[in-house]
Amino acid sequence: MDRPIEIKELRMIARGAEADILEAEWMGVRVILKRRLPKEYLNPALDARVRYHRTVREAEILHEAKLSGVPTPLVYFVDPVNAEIIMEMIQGFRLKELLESGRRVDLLGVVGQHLGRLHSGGIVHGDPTTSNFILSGKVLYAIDFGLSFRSRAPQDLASDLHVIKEALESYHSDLSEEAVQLLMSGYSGAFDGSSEVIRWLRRLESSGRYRGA
Amino acid sequence: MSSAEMDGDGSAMMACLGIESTAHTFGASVVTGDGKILSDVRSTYRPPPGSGIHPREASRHHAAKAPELVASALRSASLHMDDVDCVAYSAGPGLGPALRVGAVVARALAAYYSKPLVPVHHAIGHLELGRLLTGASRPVSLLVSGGHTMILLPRRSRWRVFGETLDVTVGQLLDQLGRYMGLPSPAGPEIESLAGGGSRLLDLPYVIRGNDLSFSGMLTAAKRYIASGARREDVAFSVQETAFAMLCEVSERALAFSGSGELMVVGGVAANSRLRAMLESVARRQGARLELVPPRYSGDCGAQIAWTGMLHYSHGLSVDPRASRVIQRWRLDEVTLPWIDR
Repeated sequence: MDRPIEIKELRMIARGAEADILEAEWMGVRVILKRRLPKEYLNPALDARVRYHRTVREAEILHEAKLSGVPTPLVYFVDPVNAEIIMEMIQGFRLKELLESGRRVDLLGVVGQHLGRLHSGGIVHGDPTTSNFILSGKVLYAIDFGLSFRSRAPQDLASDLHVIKEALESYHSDLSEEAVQLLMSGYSGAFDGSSEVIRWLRRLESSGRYRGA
Repeated sequence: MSSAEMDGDGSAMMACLGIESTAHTFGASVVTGDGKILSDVRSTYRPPPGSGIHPREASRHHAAKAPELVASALRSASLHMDDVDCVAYSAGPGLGPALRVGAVVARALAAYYSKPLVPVHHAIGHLELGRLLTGASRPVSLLVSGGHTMILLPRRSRWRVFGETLDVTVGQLLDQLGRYMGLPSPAGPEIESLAGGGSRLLDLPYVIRGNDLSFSGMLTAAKRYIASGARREDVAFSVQETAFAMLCEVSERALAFSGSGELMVVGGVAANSRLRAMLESVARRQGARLELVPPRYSGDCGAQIAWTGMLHYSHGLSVDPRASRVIQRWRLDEVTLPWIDR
């Protein structure tokens, strides 16, 4: 399928396990182009099917997150056949950098609130590390929904909390205990089902991983 | 470490007798403190084609074979029980009746010869023997067998689970599909050769949630294809392509996440050549080396228990035979392993 409007690729931002993230120009605007690349070790028909469905799901969830009250990049164009999403480029500072400079620990309350709102809407982010939140002006955006999926199972939701806590403990270990408390109170305040999820989180943490026997 | 250094603290001269009996295979092996496999013998129970493993029949097989296999392991190592420093056994997870045979044999030997008794987690045995034989240090590890399907990383005194199956294992998927088609069990090799004659990719559920995998829907769908008259070759081909793609995807994420330059694959399904070829490509994409355990040691064997028992024992672990037990369900990330650093 041809793109209705040409896109000019400017630079590679990140090459992940699953997709390339590029900065590009499209209709005179700076945009993000996310492209899922074919994998030569996969059967081509299977590869095409998986990339198609993943692309559609990611675009849908980017939209659904907004309905739950979590700012995400606007989706401008979806090309499931070529497994590409063209979306808004969020200009700002990554949460990771803001925490490293030690100034904006308060943002962890907003991160908790965002996760609570996503979970209220039945969305698991899948990879909520401190690199995947960007502060633009006064708005904290959640980005990279490449591993997101729909679920309301408390063990699935608990895995999101586990990922962000792990990120805080391993990359921002200088932060105080207060930082995690901010995160958790933001979460609990935004999501009615939080106590059940936190119970699962404790079980997960006490045994490395926990699944019902 | 040079052998002279090892001799200095005497660990190279130590020897562990390991006994494996979690499922189909009864195995016995002697491994030294510096990781030389002096012997490794085994016998595998084969259920009739079309049926699965029967725990009682497996335990009868193990009980009948145990005496000659233990004697043969010692004989080929040119050792007597007096020369052995400890006795290790597979304490779980696995089939109760099968596990108990190995535990009884190990307990009896340890008590009679006054040797320390060391319980070993079977799957940790696969992983540690894999590290010993490949020389990998902190590999992303794919463990694929009848009992396990996990992607792991050795970190902070444990094998940490990065992703795992939420329902059946890949080994069970292949075995149960094989049994449904009337193939002998374990069915992996037969499925692989059938798949070689397939070419049409049938639509099967591809289910990854976070970094976890689900294969139960695929099993149901594959059986339906068979029941509705699809070519067995195409079904085997499609199941392999789809299930292995899921394993490769999560393995690739684990490599990217950890920055590890090593990808190791262990367990019975590691013998599959299509899976190996796909993982080779995953490793290349991520700038990592694929570490393959020699086929003889990728499946269940005494050496995995003897070597892991040696590691535990040299870090001070042994149990009183009277308090020793088997654990049919036992998560490997519950076991603390002092030899894995942060």
